[in-house]
Amino acid sequence: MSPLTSVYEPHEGDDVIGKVIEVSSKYWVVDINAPYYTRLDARDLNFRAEINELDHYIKMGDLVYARVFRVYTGNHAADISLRGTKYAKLPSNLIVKVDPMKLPRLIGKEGAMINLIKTGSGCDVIVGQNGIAWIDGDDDKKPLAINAIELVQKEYYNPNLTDMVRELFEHVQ
Amino acid sequence: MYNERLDKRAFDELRKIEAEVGVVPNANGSARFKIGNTEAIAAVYGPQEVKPKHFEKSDRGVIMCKYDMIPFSVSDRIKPGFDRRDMEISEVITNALSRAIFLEEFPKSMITINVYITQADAGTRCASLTAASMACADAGLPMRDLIASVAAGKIGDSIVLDLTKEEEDLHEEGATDVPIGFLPSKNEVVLLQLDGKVSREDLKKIIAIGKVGADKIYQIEKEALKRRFSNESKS
Repeated sequence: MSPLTSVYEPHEGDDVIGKVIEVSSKYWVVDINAPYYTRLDARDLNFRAEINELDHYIKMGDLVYARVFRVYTGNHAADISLRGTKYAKLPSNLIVKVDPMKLPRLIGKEGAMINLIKTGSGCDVIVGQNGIAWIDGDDDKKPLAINAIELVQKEYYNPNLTDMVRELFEHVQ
Repeated sequence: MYNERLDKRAFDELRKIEAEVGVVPNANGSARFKIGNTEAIAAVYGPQEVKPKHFEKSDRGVIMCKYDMIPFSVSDRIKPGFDRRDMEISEVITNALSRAIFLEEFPKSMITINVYITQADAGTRCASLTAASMACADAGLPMRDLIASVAAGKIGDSIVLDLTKEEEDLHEEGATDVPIGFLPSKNEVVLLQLDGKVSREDLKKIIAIGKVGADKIYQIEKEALKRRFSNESKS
């Protein structure tokens, strides 16, 4: 049995987007939309960081795109890392939260839906597996991407969803 | 003698019920439950980090419930804030929901439940519990069953279901009020309180009539939750 709405539970290997909520001398505390806060250690980066000066690299409130590399047994708390070329601090701060249960609909078959939103709105969109979508682009195009994602969330059970999203973009042009 | 009810209902008839989920957009799950003139709104947040930290349990999650009656919910304005009665009802709601939610799936975390009574006309703890369980289901928390809760009681020689405030105040008739909470499909009792005097046989009858009412409420709860995920519900 699976519920129609759900809470994100981290698994090893997930690509997630998180918000830094605390900077310590050796690690950052990151909120990845899970029941527990997550730690990003200063050793698990793709660049070298000076201990005690972590503020120089990633500040409080910044967003990171990272990989879950360890999940603790018992309480499902996770550690994340930035090791790997595709992981990094994200340059801007606009996110939309999506129910993790509706994520497959937002991504679509082989990324069909998310590519449609990307091309239709002209924005850069990254969807983390924890249900956070990050949007970057021109200020006048961002609302379009947000509207499209909200529409997917609202009409996720609709079989004609792709047409509806396409219509949304055509309507604006 | 109490041969006919003050509002002309049958003895085993519930008041008019309205149920709705997803009423608080910022919460993870929310519900509104209205029975007669009693209305409860419940909002569920979490699971999240436990604050304050010393409430944390390493093997299971904890429920933080807050029941509050809004000052204008009764005809004489009540003082805002958390009083002894609110504490008691928060406690019984917490206990009942601990039996329904699989808390062991969320160790070291906290589920916050806020219940507000916007209108009160007896049976607020039952309405709160029903609303809270619907809100938990709406939040996608794994549960054994929904909780259906209703008050039953005895006035004079009659066993009655779903008392109003007027009926509760019939002290000369010996009005007895018994709030009961069920897990209907499991046939388990999660809340049972008694206010008044009643014999053992009568209590059994009261629980039996409460079960009949709870089964009806259970159907309404399920329909409300289904409506949330179907086409007609769009508001």
